Amino acid sequence: MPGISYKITHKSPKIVSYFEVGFSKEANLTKEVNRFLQLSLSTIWKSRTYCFVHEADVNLANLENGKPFLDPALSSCSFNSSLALKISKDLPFDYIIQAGLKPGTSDAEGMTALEQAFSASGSKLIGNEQGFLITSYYIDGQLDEQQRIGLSKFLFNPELFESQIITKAQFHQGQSVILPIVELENLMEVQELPIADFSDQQLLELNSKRKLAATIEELKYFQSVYQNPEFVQLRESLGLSSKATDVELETWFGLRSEHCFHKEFNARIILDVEVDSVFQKAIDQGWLKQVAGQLVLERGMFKTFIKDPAYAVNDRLTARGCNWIASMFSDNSGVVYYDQDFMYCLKVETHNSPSNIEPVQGAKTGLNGNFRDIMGTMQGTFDILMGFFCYCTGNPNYQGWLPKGVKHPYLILKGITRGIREAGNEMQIPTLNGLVFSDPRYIAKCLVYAGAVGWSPVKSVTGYDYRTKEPSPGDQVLIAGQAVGIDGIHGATESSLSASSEISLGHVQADFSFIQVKVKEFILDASRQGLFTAVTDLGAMGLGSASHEIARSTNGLVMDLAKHPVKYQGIQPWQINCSETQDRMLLVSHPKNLVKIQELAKFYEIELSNVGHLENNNLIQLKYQDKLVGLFQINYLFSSEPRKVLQGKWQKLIPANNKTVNEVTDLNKDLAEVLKHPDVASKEWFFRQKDFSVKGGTIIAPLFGKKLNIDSDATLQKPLDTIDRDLGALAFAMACSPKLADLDPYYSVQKSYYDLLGKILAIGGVLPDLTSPSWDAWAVCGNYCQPNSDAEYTMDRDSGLKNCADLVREGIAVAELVQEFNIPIISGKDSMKCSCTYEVDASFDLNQVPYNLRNQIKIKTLANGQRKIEIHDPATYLISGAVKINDYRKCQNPSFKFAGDLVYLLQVAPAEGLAGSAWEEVLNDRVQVSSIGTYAPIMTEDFKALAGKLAECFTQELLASCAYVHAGGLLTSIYKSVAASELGINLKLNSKGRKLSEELFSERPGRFVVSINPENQATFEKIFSKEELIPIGEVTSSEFLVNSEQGSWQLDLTSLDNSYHQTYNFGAK
Amino acid sequence: MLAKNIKVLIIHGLGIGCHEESKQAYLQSGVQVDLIHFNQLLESKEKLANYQIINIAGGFMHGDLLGSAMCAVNQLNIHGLTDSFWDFSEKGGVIYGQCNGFQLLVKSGLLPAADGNYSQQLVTLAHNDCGSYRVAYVPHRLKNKHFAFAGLEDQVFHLWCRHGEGKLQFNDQFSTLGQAKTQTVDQIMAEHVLLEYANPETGKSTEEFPHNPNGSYLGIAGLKSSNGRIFGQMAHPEVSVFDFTDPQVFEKKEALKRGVKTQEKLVGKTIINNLVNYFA
Repeated sequence: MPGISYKITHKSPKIVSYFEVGFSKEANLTKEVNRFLQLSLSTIWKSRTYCFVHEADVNLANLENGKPFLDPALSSCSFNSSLALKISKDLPFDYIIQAGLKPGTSDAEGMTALEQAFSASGSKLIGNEQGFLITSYYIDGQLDEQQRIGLSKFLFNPELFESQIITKAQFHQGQSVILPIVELENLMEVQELPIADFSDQQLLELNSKRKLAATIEELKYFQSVYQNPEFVQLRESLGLSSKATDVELETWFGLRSEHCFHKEFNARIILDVEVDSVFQKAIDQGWLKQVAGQLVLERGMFKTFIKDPAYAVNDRLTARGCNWIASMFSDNSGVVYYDQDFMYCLKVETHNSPSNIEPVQGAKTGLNGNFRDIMGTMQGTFDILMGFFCYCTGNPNYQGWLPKGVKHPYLILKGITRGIREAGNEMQIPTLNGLVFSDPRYIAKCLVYAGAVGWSPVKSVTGYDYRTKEPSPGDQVLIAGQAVGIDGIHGATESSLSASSEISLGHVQADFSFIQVKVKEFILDASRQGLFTAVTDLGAMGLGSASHEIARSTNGLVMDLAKHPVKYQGIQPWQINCSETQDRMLLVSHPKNLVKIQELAKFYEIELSNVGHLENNNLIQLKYQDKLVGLFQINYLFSSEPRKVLQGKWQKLIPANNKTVNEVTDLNKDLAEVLKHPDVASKEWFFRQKDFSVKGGTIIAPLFGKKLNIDSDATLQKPLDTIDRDLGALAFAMACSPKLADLDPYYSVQKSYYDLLGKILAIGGVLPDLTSPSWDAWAVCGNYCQPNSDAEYTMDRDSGLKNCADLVREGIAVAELVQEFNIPIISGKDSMKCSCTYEVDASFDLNQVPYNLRNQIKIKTLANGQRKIEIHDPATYLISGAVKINDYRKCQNPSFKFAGDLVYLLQVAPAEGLAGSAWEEVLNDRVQVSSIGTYAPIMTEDFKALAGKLAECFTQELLASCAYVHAGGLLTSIYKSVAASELGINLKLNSKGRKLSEELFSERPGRFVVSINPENQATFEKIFSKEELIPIGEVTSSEFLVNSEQGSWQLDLTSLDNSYHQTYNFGAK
Repeated sequence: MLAKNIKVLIIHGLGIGCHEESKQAYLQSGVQVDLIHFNQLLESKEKLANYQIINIAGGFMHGDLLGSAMCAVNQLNIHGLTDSFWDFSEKGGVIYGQCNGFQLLVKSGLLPAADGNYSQQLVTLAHNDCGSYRVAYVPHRLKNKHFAFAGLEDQVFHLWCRHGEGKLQFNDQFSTLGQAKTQTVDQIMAEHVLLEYANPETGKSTEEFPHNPNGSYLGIAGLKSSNGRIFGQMAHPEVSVFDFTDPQVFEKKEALKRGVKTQEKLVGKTIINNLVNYFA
């Protein structure tokens, strides 16, 4: 029979039914592949085939001409035959490239189609049916084999899809395709290992065989548990042998992976450094101790630099009254009070490893996982207010050498953008902010940050308190959401390794947002009725992590792994405990609420299973049906022993003096190049495809201006609950300065912190005031993406040592700033392996590598003559903050408002230093030499003083516009204000002997550009000192004029607009 | 009928995302609002009689799997709700759909339902020509008079559009509808087009990006049934009930401070208040 038919292989009484729906003409896709792969295809057509495997007595034929498949104005539909043979008109094509998801991957569309088809045909699902979506592209155009393979990889990432290429001739002869059914032997087997008797060698072999990502100390610690006679006796009394089961082995090392256990953030760190002023301050504070010529961070990064300073602020806020900190570090997100009746929470996650392998699903599961963190805070009463992102990739327009197996930055950036878009849009959460950075080091390992803000009343209308998370022994443990599959096994351990071409890709998963949407609706309803004592999410290490963490709250758990629903037979007990199948939540409830919860779950179409209950006997007992398959003592499982020790070494980098080359000449060209810089360029393309106005509360969107096409820095949202209640709103901003970290991560963190404050202050935020109690709440989250800091496991030991010392310097900066500003970091995440190694063949030539990556590559020749390279990402610290604003009506945006308005620069200190700036990279590009200049720190007290005066201007509503100067410097900031308003400016700069390029392009923190109505001039000017306030010109009705001692320029706005928008302009126009 | 006696049913659940702001939008006009889960609605058609207005808000029902609103329409048909909705409007009730809600009304055949025939879907909302989901503040104009849009005639007004599947088209190259149905185009254009995307300079309807955000045929942005009581559009007026959702809110505020008057009309509020007045 001509056409494509779908089959199953194994002998089964089941049959396959399929519907092919199409064809849509993919004009944008055709253009894109022609451009990216340099092809000249005339058209690509797309169809979707829904394949169902079900019992033979079900007949679905009658659905061919109706819903849910047919949209008569859009498509045709064929049943159990190829659509191309059915339509009256010939479909012009030469090849079909088609694919379905790999076996075992969640197929959201296939399974939904199955449910809808059965429902429409009046058939009942009995539970053993499966649905698959096969997407087919019909390609019109001749291609050679290489091109076909290239196109196939472009259309379907081989890590996620199984694709095939079918020629027109094969199609007409007839081609059958096997559906990706998971066929596992339905044999439950728990393996046992005599771990107590293992030699070190055997332990290490086990480590690599099962990919445990553990050190020998950690392996021996695990072994010691089984060498303890008391534990052995306990095991035997419960019917377990002295051997470790695979459930125990996999769970133990999954839970204690870097990803889940934060070993390096808790490690003792020993530094071999020259003590400069920064380390000296840390010694004076007692954070670091000098021991035998070395510096020791005894209590570790987290306790010393994050937790202790945060609790100190907590105490100060309590002392002043109106302490807005509700919960830090103990829950899935940090929580602060909006006021006495409402609270909001913030969490940012990274999903780097999965996004490198499969950008769409990697990013999507990242943001959806982060949404679950919000849903799993306290008792699950938090709704999600907004989401946001930060991407660090190679330049999408990059052309040149790529390590083997590494995806082109364009594919990465496009993929993660789609993933974040789908998660946010499908969950109906506005994406309210985003940052994008580019550096050639991110080509090897991209970074994807995804975050969200949640919102909850403090109490129910009847006064029930939502803040506690205190389950009791006897409480039931429930799982809501997807059935578990073998997808996402080893996610936690593998993301704890550096990337390399050898990394196993077993942890790629696909998301089923629609289930998560329903889970969210269900949990919000049930939790706000007070039905749960605790809620937590299933993320890395899935059920094992969520349930065992919850077990710590009562000190015990009995759980039957067989009670967790599975997607197919044959999944082993350890896999059930460790799988990271997405879209699941763990709920804890008092037994009396079970019936009500089950009713609600049914109503919201949620699969809910009761997997066990909490105990208080220090034991986690894992059963499979009646048999015990795993036993842990909680105090050992979560013991912080053996504590990791890291070594670090640091030397001050001497900044380059590039002052002779950096004077501006042609300002039109200079500014154009800065505006094109990927860290500065317009992110309109990213924001337009992510809903930023759903929920109805967006006041300042991620885009502003007459054409709504200029990037906002801080955004503003009014939670719906507050609309008839107050004038408050939540401001949100992010900051990150990865390039400055090359000079000194201490500066990079410092600048990011100031930039975050500056962005919030520029729309009308205020800093916490310890002298008067108010709800001046700041929820701030810090995310570390750190190149490999464990020198013992770094190919190039020296860089490992440096990375470790860098980490400590970042910590010192954070602790200092928290102390000074009383704005603690209440939540965060450490992603510690942002490095990668690749084997390269003989043809590898460092000269092929772009100049700005060349000196970042470490090369090592292996014993077999092969060479290995190592690339470390910059130390990339992202800081995010959601901040309470008291009166949204008094806020401002950066757009100029009226010709004739006076423009001022408000500054903590004059422009100085170009280190890490976009302008510096433009200059480097011109001479193709990497060098980093100087950075001039600012004084905290001066910043605070200026912030206070700025706040005074907002209170008096003196400002017609306000912008914070950061990426691209002063001139970029002014360009944005001009472009947004479609007005002009006559800029008169007096750089007082300083270089004009520094004045215009330095990114030194603490500078603002404001414009005011001339009527307010006297009142306004009185507020500031002469050093702080620099008049720089006036708004005009058109034309962008720059006058300075070094020359005068008329800038071409149309051409600058083009430059600003061209870097991330990938169609959608 | 007094506003406080008017009851509005807002459907939520299964990925509908704009029910809360829609509720706020209706509440400010003084009416009563009930949120009813889609599944609850399927099981209790008789409840419809208690309401004057059914609002189907935007969102991602069923995650847009199988195409926007396809699964929801499938469920409506299975449960006979499509007929119930039609009867509801015949008896004087109003059904208003935004975005995903509009997609549902179109794909169920309830819009435009030329000659009162809602058994066949005549038009569809295809993927945007620009190739992606897109958020924009889009200029609209009223094509045919409608009670909910009273006071918005002869002007260009802006509404938030946020969708990936909003291109209104009558048929496609490989659709089963075929050419035969295009004769209904004239009739639909004359009677059933409610809103058009407009070029703010000319005030005329447009097929040109970006004023037409999706490539809709002849710039069609919204449709209505013959009696006008079933209607909808891709845009989201429920957001434009509060002044702060105007992207030029700070520009307008500054203008006002200096005595420059700007157009103050909140389009969403006008529409909702007109709906309430319709039952007054």
